[in-house]
Amino acid sequence: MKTMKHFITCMTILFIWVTGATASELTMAFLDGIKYYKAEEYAKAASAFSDVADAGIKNGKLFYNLGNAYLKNGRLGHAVLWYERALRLIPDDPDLKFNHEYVLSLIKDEPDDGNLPIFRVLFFWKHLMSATAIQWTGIMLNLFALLMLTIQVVRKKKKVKTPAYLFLILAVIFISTVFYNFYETAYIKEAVILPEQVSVRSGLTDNSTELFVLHTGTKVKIEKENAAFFRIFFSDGKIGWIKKSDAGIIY
Amino acid sequence: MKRYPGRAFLIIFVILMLPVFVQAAKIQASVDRTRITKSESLQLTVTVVGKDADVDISPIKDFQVISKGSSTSVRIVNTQISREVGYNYILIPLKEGRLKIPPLTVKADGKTDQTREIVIQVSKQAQEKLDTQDVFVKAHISDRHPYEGQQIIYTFTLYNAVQLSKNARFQEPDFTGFNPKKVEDEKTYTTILSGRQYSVVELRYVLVPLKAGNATIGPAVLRCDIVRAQKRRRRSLFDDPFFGGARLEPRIFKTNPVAVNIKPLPVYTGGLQFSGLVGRFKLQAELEKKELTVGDSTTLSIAVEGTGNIMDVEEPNVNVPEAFKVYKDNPEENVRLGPKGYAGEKIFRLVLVATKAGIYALEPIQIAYFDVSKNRYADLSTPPFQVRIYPSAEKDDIQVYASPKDEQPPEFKKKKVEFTGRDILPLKEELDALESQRPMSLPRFIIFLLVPFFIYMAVKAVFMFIVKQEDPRSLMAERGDRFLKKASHIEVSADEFLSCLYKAVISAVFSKAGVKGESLTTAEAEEILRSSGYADETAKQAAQLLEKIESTKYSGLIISSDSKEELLFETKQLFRSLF
Repeated sequence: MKTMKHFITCMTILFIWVTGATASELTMAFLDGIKYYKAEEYAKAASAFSDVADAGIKNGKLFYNLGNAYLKNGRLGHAVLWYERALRLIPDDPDLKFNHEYVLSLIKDEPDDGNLPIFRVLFFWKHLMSATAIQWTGIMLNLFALLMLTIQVVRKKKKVKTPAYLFLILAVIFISTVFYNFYETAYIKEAVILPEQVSVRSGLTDNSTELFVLHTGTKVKIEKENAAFFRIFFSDGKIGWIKKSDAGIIY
Repeated sequence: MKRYPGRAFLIIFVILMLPVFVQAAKIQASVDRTRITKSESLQLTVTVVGKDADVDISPIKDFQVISKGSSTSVRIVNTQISREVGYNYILIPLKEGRLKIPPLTVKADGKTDQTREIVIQVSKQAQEKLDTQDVFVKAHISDRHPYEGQQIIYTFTLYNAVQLSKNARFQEPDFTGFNPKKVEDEKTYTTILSGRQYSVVELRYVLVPLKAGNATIGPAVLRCDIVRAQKRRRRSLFDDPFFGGARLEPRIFKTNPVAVNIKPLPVYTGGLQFSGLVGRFKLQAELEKKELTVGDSTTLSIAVEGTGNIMDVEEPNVNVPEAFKVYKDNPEENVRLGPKGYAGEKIFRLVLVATKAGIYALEPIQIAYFDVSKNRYADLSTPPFQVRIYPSAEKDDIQVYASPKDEQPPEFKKKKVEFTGRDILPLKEELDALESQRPMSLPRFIIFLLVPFFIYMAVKAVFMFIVKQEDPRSLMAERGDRFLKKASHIEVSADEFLSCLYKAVISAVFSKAGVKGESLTTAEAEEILRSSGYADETAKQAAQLLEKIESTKYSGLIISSDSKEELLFETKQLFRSLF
């Protein structure tokens, strides 16, 4: 029994030491990234921030910093990729919007806006709030609506009925958005072209016919994938295959 | 006094009557009109206040005199009684011209007095006798031969010697060919024409002829009612017009049309440019400072003053040396419309900013206008000005930006803000960038949604159950079931069996009505079931069963087991129909 107790204590100390050291390393890497960035060593900064991201940290600010570092380093495709990733997490961040618009202005290919303007108008909050914020808003609205309906059942107050239904409608809107976000994450994959120039081909070999050329930073939709290739969709009629290494997935 | 009461009364009477006798005789001669034609006559009345008098009419030579007798009237004013005797004569003129009724000698109360002389104008033909009428109107124009652009005054005059009602309506004349402007101030005064006093009202219009040629100003029309005293003998104080003894006489007065000959302006042959001004004008100029330093400013004020179309004057041409930048101020206009037309001044101000040192001359400012008083063009000129500009101690060549020529205030056109440099915004250095922002997983999200939903459903179910329990329908249905079950037990007595059966049926019927109750008539039971939507057959069946149970219960007969079975069966059948 004593041996068991000692084992548990040692394991706990080890766990704390290991996790503490990891946290400290990540912080150091993040601070290094800032330091390198300020020293205009953008490649090192990008590498430092990438180390943090590779450790599994999924944070909009971190991704924003990565976008900045890659942009300053002249790697436009990677900059767009990380800004797009950051937008999934902090779509309402003004700095991010500014830098994202700036980087889009540098892209050679005219963007194909897959989202219709009407969709953007109808689901405007999707582009103003993060996915987490939309989830919690939906949960809270649902809670308020049901709470009011419960009060209406218990106290039989008809006055509560109208605001309850109002909350319920809003809750339905936000919950629908959440489900759409889940659907989008699971089934609609988007990627950014990373090399300076990529030939989109008709087949899965390098000898296949070049259909069209995309340049770094261009955003595409991924329709299919196999071991080494993505079938991408750029716009109407512009479909073809590119190597997986030529595109970065937006997650 | 007691011994002579009659004497005392006499003294008092004499004292009271004294004012009558001591009043000096007042003598006055008046005529009903002063202008007549040779074929007309007039009435002369010599009024004497006091006793009867002798009037000597022998001095009247120009008229044939016919005596029309005398009239006497007594007046009481402030407890004083006065007697008035009027001696009336009809006078027929013997010739035309300016005839005189000389002073007449009147002897009254031993005294001799004379009336005043009266002049009568006797014309040959019957004509409109304006100034002998109670009311008449006239139209007058200040100049019948004006130049085009010259302002003239049209005057409408109302002469009124009697009382007019307040509803007078004036229709202004047709001023076609003129630009009319009414002078708002009406002129009112009194005047005496041929011995009669008239109230006069004048309305004035300033007219500016628009083009040369003959033009006619149409007649002005005045509609009004004249207040006339009723022509009846005054019987009392209340026959006075003041107290309603008057009538309104509607009248229309019309002026004669006025013909105007508008002359064209002569061709200007002078060396200047004609300013367009017509009237009488003066030109003045003033320079604020004549010694300046580069960068300093001075104001040149040019004032055009006079009577006429002053408001039309444009800014005079000013030749300013290149050493000045010119800023034009909005002109100040002070023009009034008075009885003589438009008059006033217009002041132009130029701000001159010195830009180069030196001595400079400002040339005289000149304008040409048409002088209506001299019937010719006239040139106005200001004296020249000399300005000395000293170099600036700070900067010799000062940059001055002049305002646009059109004198509009400077417009600040809003400009779209453009980027002057391109860069991205800086890093985010907060350490919360190391915290993962993973959105909630789908199952967790659904749980968060469903938990309150289930709580709500549970609460609702509980409350529905509670409500159901309190519902009379379910309570009575349950009671009916309970009594039916009790009746089904073999060991119950006959009375108890019938009572349970009765209660079971009653409860079943009440449950359908949704109310609680203990007893019902057969008719009520039938009605409840019908109104609850059951078929007539079921309602009747229930009513018959209830009647059967009641009759068995209250007949006192011993109920057989077969009858019990039959009743129980029928009741159960009814329950099956109802539930």
